[in-house]
Amino acid sequence: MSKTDTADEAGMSAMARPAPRRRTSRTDSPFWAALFVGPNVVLFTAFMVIPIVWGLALSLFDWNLIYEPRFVGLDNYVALLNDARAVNSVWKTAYLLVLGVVPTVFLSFILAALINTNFPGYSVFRTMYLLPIVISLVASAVLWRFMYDPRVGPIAQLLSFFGVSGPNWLQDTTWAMPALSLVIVWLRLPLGIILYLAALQQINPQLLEAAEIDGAGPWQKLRHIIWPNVMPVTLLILVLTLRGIIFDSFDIAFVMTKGGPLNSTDILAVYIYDLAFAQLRLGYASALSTVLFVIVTILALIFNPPRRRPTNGDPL
Amino acid sequence: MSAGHHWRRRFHVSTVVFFGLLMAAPFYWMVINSFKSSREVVAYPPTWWPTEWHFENVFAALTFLDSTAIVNSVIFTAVITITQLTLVVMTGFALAKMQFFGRGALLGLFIMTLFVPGQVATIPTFILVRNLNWIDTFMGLCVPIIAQTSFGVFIFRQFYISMPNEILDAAKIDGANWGQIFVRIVLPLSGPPIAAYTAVTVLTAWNMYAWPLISTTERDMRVLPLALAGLGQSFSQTPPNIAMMAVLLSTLPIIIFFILCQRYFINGLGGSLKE
Repeated sequence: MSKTDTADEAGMSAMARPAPRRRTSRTDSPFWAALFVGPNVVLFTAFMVIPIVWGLALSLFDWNLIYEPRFVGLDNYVALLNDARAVNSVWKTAYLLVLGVVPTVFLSFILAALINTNFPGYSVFRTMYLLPIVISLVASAVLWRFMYDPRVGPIAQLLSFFGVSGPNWLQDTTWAMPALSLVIVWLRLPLGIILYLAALQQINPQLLEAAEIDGAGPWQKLRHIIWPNVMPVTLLILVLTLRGIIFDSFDIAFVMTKGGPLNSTDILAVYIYDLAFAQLRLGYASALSTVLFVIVTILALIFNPPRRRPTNGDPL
Repeated sequence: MSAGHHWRRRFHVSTVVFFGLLMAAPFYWMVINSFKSSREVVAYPPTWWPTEWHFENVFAALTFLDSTAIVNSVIFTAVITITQLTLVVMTGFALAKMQFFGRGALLGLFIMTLFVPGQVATIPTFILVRNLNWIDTFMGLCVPIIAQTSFGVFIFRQFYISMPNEILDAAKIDGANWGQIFVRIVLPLSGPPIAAYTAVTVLTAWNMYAWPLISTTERDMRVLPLALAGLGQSFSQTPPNIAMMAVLLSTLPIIIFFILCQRYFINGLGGSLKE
């Protein structure tokens, strides 16, 4: 059932069938097609396609909104290499990705396997696992700022209960980034759990029963049956989390630390914002966002290479 | 079997409960602190249950958020959800079921932009909006977000691809045009994906921060996340109990919406499985 088969069939039938049937074949008047896709195409072109192309072009110019744009070729990119803050922001972004993606994927698998069960009152607890999905990045930034408070925050309080004196999380160059990543992991776990749960529920229960009869414990079932079956979803969650963290981290980092202390959380998105909207160096900022674009594309290709999906007849 | 199984089961359930409580703990902290008095909220050591419940914090938080930001957020969310939904349902359907010139290229264009990070387009979009004199207007706030249709187009095209052609062909033989087919046959069958997409879009729009931050400067144009953001830096202006109440109030509509429509959220987000 590939797409070409049906297309051939449609083409063949249109030619072979007598004239009266052609009205019911799948050739459509341009009027209806224009009405259905026209508004979206106009809007999408004006506010998505043109800005993307424009952004790439803008990276070759020097412009501050006041003077005429000046063509500088690849100078912006060369300058980036010598810009310590730009290089730092690439590393900080990579660091945040590692701190965010690995725990998100791992924990969402563990938690999904854990809650793939049923007991009285279960749905209440499942809702608890998914609850962080509803809170906005900004609201959670405010909430977690209070959680991290070194004096009256619950985290400091719990640590002191165990006799540990925690750092001032968000003011500490070592701990600020892990603190931000914990918020991001908390926010992104529900999506991972939902996707893993969907995959887990597609595993044939007879397979698990058979393993149980053969004397497999929970760990063996997890290792030999569940994990191999959810592997494809793991790749998907990996890519979605990567994208999600790159897209969303601005809100968290900008609201909670503004890139500080001492640029220790100065990720690409924060530096780009600063360049474009505080310093008005639009060309230079566009060059840096192009770098971000290239990084995202490379990561997406590494973890999710374009391929035909055999389970789905559609080539997309 | 029974005794070991029984204890294992008990252990399993308590682990589920424990981690569930852990995930929800920040919400618990938010709720109890939003009802504490300004003194108790900064008291050391912190209390895990308010000694007195101060319901008047609700009014203080509402004053802080100000009604303009609430109204703006409602308008912003409603306009984006309704307009974007209309666009993506129609485009997704046309790309799945209509034959027209450039269909394949158009589909390719939507798919390609799925992978472009927002930051690449943000700067030129800002320049465009500025040149249109749309800074600090609802047009500038909403239109560029409405235009982010690639994900929706993709989801709805996938849905309509699997809709059997026979249903549409029968209507065509009866002489119905595409408009009639769409309204009378296709839309009534599209309930589940529309509900799922609406749930996810409402959530995204209500929580959006970066674009409103860039495209508005006036206080009158603020949406809720902009009003809240000031609290992320320090609690020196606003005491933490009022800050927590503000966070709670701005999240409450979505929490209620989520608990009522949990199924659609899960379908909508799980729908990215098919990506």
